[in-house]
Amino acid sequence: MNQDNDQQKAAVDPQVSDQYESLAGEKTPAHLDRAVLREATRAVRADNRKGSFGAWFRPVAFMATVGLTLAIILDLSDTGIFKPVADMSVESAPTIQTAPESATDSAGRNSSQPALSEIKRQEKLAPDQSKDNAGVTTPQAAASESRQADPRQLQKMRVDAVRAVAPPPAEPVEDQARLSNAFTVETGIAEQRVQEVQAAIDANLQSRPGTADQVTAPQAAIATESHVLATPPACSNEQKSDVEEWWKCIQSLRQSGLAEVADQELVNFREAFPDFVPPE
Amino acid sequence: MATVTLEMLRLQASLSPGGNVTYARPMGVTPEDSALMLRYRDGDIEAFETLYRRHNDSLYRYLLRLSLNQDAADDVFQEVWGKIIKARHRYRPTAKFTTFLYRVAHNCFIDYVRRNKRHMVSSGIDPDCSPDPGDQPDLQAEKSFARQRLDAALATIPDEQRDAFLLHEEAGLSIDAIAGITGVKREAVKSRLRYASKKLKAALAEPAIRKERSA
Repeated sequence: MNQDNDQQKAAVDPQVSDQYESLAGEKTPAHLDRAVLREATRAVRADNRKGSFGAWFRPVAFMATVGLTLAIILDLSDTGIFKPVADMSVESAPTIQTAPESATDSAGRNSSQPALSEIKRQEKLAPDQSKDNAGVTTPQAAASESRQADPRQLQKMRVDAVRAVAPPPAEPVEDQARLSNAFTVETGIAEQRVQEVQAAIDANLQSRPGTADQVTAPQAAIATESHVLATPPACSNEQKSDVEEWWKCIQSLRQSGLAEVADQELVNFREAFPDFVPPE
Repeated sequence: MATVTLEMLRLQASLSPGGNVTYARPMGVTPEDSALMLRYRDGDIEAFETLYRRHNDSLYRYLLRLSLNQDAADDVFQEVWGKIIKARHRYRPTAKFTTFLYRVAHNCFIDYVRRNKRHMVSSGIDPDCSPDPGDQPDLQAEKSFARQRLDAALATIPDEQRDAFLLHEEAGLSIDAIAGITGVKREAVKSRLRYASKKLKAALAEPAIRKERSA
């Protein structure tokens, strides 16, 4: 820098510099001063206006950006892109869905209503066949009448009772797990209904002690219900080959309370051995 | 923000060996012109006015004698400060403010000449422009006459030499700074200054010689 100053001094004659400095005294015109200062002031005021605008605009713009981003993310999650695929195996059988509709905490009570209602319906049909028991509307009377009814009617009544107990057939399903679960639940519901029917009958019997018919009739209803659960032990072919054995089998069925089965066996027995005279 | 005045720099120079004024900027300290410019950037209008008052006359004279046309000088003068005002947000104190100011002025003048090449006629400078109010009338007349000779002398030297001379005299810039502004090497700047000084000396001395002769 010192060298530069020396060179600078050498480059320009000091007399010329002094002479120039003394002569070149022009001042800036006033109108130019005003114009430049006015422009400088205007620029600062414009900055202040932008600043006040930006003071709130920038935060608002930032928040708007954040809000829009969150909205897009939430929308993407709601449209199902991230939604897990529904597990088909978890779905319950259609048949099960119908059962809870009429079920309460003690599922047995309400579940027995269809069976009782079916029995009552049968009771209503029974008085038409028996004029002697016109005033009786108990299930016992209906059951006693059923024993004397046509076998085909008996079969129909049994089918109706089964239908009343059993839930409607399930829709065709592909999942074996659902099938097994449905069957298990259906069986359980049927068992509950049988127990409820038994309890109701027992209660009825206690309130009105009746004849053997009144006792066997509800038993017949229960037997009908039980028929859904397991195939009653009918007479075997060996027994059927012998007339007396077959007769004994029928009697044992009747004694064990399976009157309807015994009646059916009796029908078959009559067809097979029409000339047989039962011993007294 | 700490500011450094010329007195502080001279004090520092006096303490340094050689006693020369060092123009090296201490670390972390902003020169005064740059500080005013930064304050104006932040919205201080008074800082700009101070800065403007400090450099407006020298800049005007530079443009006036460079263009040799008062109208051109007025237009370029406004244009230069307009650019300074617009560039306030981009301003960085990497160099002296004077270097920055005269670089802008030099470029604006070149652009003006290119735009108005056909109309750039030396209209001369009004010698009575802004006379010193404190001067007596005869002194004012003498000065006016001398100024005319100076302007006439300046008009005779080439534009590049005149430019270098005026940057040296009005802006007080170093050879390196002048080289940076004009875009030439420092040897070229030295040469231009030498020739300009020689011619001006001869032109300014001529009336004096005639006076002596007439006397």
